[in-house]
Amino acid sequence: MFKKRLTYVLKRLLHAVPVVVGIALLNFLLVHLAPGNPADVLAGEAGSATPEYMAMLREQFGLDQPLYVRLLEYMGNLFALDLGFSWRHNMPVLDLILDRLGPTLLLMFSALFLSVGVGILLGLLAATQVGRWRDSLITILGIVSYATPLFWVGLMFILLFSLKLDWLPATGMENVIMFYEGWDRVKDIALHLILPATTLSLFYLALYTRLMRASILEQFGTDYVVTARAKGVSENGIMFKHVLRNALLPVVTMAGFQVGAMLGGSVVVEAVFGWPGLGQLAFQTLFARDYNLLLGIFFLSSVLVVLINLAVDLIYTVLDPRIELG
Amino acid sequence: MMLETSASEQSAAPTFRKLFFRNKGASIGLVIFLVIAFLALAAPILFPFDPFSNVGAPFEKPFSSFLLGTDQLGRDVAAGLAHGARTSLLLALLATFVSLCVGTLLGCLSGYYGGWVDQLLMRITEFFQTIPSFVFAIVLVAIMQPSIESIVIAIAVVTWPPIARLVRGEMLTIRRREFVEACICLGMRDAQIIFREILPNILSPIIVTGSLMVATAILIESALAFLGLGDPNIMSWGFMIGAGRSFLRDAWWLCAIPGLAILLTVLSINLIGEGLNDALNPRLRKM
Repeated sequence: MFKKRLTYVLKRLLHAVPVVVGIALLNFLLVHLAPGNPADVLAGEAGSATPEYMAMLREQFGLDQPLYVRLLEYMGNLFALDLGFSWRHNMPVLDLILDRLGPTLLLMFSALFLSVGVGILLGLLAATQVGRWRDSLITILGIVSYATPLFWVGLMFILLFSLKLDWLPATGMENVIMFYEGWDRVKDIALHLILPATTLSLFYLALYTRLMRASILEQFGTDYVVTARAKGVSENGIMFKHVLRNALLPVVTMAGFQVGAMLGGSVVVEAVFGWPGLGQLAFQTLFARDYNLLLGIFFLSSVLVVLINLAVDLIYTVLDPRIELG
Repeated sequence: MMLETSASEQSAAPTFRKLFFRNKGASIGLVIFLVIAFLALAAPILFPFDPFSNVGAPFEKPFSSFLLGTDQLGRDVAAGLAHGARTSLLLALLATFVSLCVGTLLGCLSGYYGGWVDQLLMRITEFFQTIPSFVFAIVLVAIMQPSIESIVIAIAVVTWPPIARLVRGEMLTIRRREFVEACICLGMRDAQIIFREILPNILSPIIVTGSLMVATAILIESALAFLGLGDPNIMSWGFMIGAGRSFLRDAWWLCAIPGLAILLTVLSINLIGEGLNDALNPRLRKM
């Protein structure tokens, strides 16, 4: 069994390799798609870069070399995680990104757990009362939050909870000037996290609620539920001992594969709340025209999604032993 | 039940219209959408001036001398809203059209030919589904410079994969039907079989998915514009929200109004999509 799992892991890893190569290739194409030559593009709008830097970039990209040599060199650099240099920040792109990765992951995983947890709960509440007012209310809330732009909800939350009611902080990740330590700092960050995490989770919350409701209803139509009823198991027993576990699987799968989309959502949410993560960094590059940094963020976030998908796959085989490891 | 009997008097199967309007949400959605579409079409007549021009004092409240007030530069919010409706609908429809064309074509090829073509195309589709789509859209627009074309291309590039998968799946089931074999025996060309014989059979799910994609496209477009990646020459809802966010405390309506417009538009299109699903895919209808 262990050996089988190991081969499965290796196989999935091998599967991920062409995807990562593809992402690198795409990045290379994007650099060349931009108007002007890559050195100009990467240096940002002319004027900010010194001639030495331009010369360095030209050399780095070997603009006098044939395309395939450039491609190979570019790929080599990417896989060595040399993502170039951000002139605007005067720092290597990789360092900048790693600095910002933590806050983004914190925001994403908070939103993920919030949306999955509350989504499962709401789906359960709706499914136990199909067609009644509670179900209708949850369905309507779902349809509305499905149609709401995230950035707008964020702004409205700030308006209500920060500006009008003054309950929660509107921007940033922590109150830096207070120099909190230990648990005070954790509390401070948690307070700052509430609004952005809620905003980011809203859309996915609607999705998981819908999925959970459908999934429970589907399970209730299966034979094993009929058997359980015939044996005299109570409805609550059927729901919590049998149906719930099976109904969770599609939601967990979906949640795992929505991580990529959530990363996109976090760009907007971070831009709204000034959350110091990758998204805000990407937002800032748009004004600075710092394409090198933008492409670096794109590359690393894509790789991150591949890795998370891989992890989900592996967790899933543990959760559901029926899945073939072939 | 009442509807069923009255429908059966006229024809055996309930008509498209009856099935669509039986869905209450779809009827409401259609009404909202028609109002927004009217606003979009009539924008140049209702507000025959550049929505970027200053027409009054800054920060006029709604329902004062201007219906929805003015923004920080004295621009008419109502005019922006109407012209923004034009932008949102136009860009979303264009992007959905491009995305549908690409997705349908690739899905058809993949499902019809199978084998290595299928393998290759599905790998590509999976690839595009793996990379974080909104980040990709941002990168595309930023690098191509914000314009109508680049926004349409970016939205289409990140939205085609589900269509390709859908079309492929439908294609796979229909490919084995007898009428397709008959067409092959008749010596019809592949393109003829795919587009003239098979495609009409799978149009309903494509239309339903396409209608929902318009809603997604509006959300992506508004988020791009909010981030400052809208076409600088055309008014859009996302731009209005992005420009108004600095004045949230004192002039909250500058953000609230265009946001509500996006919400209502997307909501109405989603409701219409569900109605279309009821009317076009009777198999999937919940009775």
